[in-house]
Amino acid sequence: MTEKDFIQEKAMRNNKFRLSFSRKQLCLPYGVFLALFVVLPLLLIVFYSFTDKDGGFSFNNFIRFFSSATTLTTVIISVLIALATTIICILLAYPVAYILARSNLNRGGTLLLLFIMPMWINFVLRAMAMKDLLTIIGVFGFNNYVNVIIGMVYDYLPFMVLPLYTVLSKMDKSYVEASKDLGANAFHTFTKATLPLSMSGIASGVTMVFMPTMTCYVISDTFGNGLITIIGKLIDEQFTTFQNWNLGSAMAMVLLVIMLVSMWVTGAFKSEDTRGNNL
Amino acid sequence: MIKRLFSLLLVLVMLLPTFSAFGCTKTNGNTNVIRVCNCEDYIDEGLLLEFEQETGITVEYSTYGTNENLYNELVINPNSYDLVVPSEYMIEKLAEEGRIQKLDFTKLSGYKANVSPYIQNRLDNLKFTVKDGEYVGEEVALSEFMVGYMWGTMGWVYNTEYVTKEEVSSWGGVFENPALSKKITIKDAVRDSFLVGLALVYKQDLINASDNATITEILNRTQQIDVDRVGEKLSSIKPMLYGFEVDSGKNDIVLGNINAYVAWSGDAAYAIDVAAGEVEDDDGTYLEGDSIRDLSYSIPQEGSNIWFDGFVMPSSSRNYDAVYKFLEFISRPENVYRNMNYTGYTSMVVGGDFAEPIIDEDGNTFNNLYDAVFLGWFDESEDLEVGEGKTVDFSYLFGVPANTYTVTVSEESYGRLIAQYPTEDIVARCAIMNNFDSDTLMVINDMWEKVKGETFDLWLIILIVALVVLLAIAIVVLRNKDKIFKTEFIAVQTKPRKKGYKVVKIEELS
Repeated sequence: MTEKDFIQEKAMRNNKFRLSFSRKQLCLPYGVFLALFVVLPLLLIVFYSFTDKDGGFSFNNFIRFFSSATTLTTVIISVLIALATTIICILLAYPVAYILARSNLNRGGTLLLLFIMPMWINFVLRAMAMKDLLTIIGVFGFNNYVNVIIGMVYDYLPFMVLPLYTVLSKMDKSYVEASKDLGANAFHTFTKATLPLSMSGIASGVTMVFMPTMTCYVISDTFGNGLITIIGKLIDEQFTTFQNWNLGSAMAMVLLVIMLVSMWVTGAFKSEDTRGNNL
Repeated sequence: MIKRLFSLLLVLVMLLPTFSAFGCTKTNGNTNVIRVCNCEDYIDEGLLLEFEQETGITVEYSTYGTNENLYNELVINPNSYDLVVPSEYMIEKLAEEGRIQKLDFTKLSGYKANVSPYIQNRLDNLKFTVKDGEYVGEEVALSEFMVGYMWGTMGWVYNTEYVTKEEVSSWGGVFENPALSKKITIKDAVRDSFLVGLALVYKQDLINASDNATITEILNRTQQIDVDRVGEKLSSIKPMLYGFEVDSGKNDIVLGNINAYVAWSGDAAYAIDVAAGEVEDDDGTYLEGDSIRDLSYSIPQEGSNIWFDGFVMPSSSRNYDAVYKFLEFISRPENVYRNMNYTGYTSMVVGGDFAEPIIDEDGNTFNNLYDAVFLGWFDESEDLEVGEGKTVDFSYLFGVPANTYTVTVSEESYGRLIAQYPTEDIVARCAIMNNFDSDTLMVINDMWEKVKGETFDLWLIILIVALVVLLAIAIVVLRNKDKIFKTEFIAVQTKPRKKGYKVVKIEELS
């Protein structure tokens, strides 16, 4: 028995009751998941979007999409609703996250819990309940676009609060102290120190609010009484009512491109910035 | 890069909720199991258990949301069920494409004896040619493929306080009353709203039409010109609408948010009962509540849709024994009665004696389905003065001479009665809507998209797109301004503001 054999045998004996995996092996389950539920469906979407209903190659789905003023308007309305929702969410969530992160109000995380807790309830149920509540209060009903945006903000606010709260609470307070030390007033401290340092939180918040808002047609149907159509609803109708999977896939592809661009714009790809700040 | 890829893939996951249709392949070699797929909340599930106890056959029961979802499931995985319950137009589509098989009615004597001959006749007359599969090229009737389950109509449910009978006697009446603006909903389902549109566009043709064939032809018009007209009409009534809905309408009308809505008859019966404070509990007892408002149901005189749901057997299923046992079980009068009580819809099985008499909570004994349904639910003749009320003749449903089966109800209850049992004059004006072929669907898709969505002018679209692009560029520039403008900073000493402090101002050096 050589020395090498001996070491190997010893190692085996030591590992007898221990499970040991290499990093690659540990990645395997997720790799399978990824291939089955992400890559494969995505390839199917690409396939369907570039074929007609007999399976032949065709650009017709995209031509149909871009030649219809109604579809383009629907995309624009979806983007505008998503933009408005995102901006309102930032304006509402930033002060809240700031206060929660800085003051003693959030001792024990109770207040934060109140913001996250609605997420534990099924959102369809929440949307319907909120619609009835708003109707009773009398806020509901004067403009369907406003109603939809109210609904979207209500549903997606926690997704903005959480990343902002994480960034702000992790932020080194000495930057703010230094800024004050150096004579900056409160406004300048905020614009020159706090805000730039929390940009990564805003970016991940935007990613989590802007994109789902464009497709969340349950909210637009419930709060807009079916009078507001967003791109997600169009896609759904292609797959259910109109049995046109090809056109539906083409719409999903266009949406995909819009989302990639908006992610690039907000810098969500720069993972160094946002590390640990996502949900 | 890998991280970017991961975040990209994570976003893609969020995009894929519509792709849940991947079924797993199941084969059913086991004849002691029957796989049934029905619409949600469309059966008294206690019956499934009784079937299992009686026959020893296990029921694997699942539900679907819409006919189209069921169709997708059958296309992706044809061997997933032994029995499914689609509507008549979907049965036609499935049969045309050779996805379902004919049933052997010699094994269904109980169903044959008790099904309404009138309805059976209408299904016998719905003929079409099969395009694919086992019966390719054959001319078949819808009734060869299905065992009837529930049927119904479509019409207005209205609040009698705000809407008059005249206004709902036609499809367009409510849209002429400005007081009802934003108080009306129509269906967020293209087939149903398309029919309403056709009825509005071809109102005069429909009123002039005297036979069912003509009405059926008009309500099945799908030429480009018809679709365009319907689109214009629906767009013109859209400002009057509170919204489009598929299941919130019954809630909204009870709450008073709306005063009229297009309803399927079973929903209509449910809404009227809820508003009247008579909601039946799951165990069959009535909950007496306060009457909130008086609702009624009206099927406009132009004509309407009549629909049928039925059990059909996918082509690949060979589980005949269990299937016929199940169909006979579900068509027994006492089980039909229970299902009608549970769902509020009306069965195609109308007759037959109960195995054992049913005694209701008031102590009335019913020996057959007719007594239980009509005498138990509707006949108010004892409470009415002579000459009051309406006498309605339902003999046509049973295929017996006129005036054999009649029911007398007050004027107020009439709407509730016809929601479940329309008279012969009414159903004679109701048309079965055919399945739209894929080319027609494309045309209707464009129309529906325009009706439901907004259409901006081209210049406005370009302007908004340009603005959004500018905004995006601005954000990118702002994010990278240090790189782009290559700003350097130097510290400049300035006068101290307070004694003992040194203020260092940072200035840009350009």
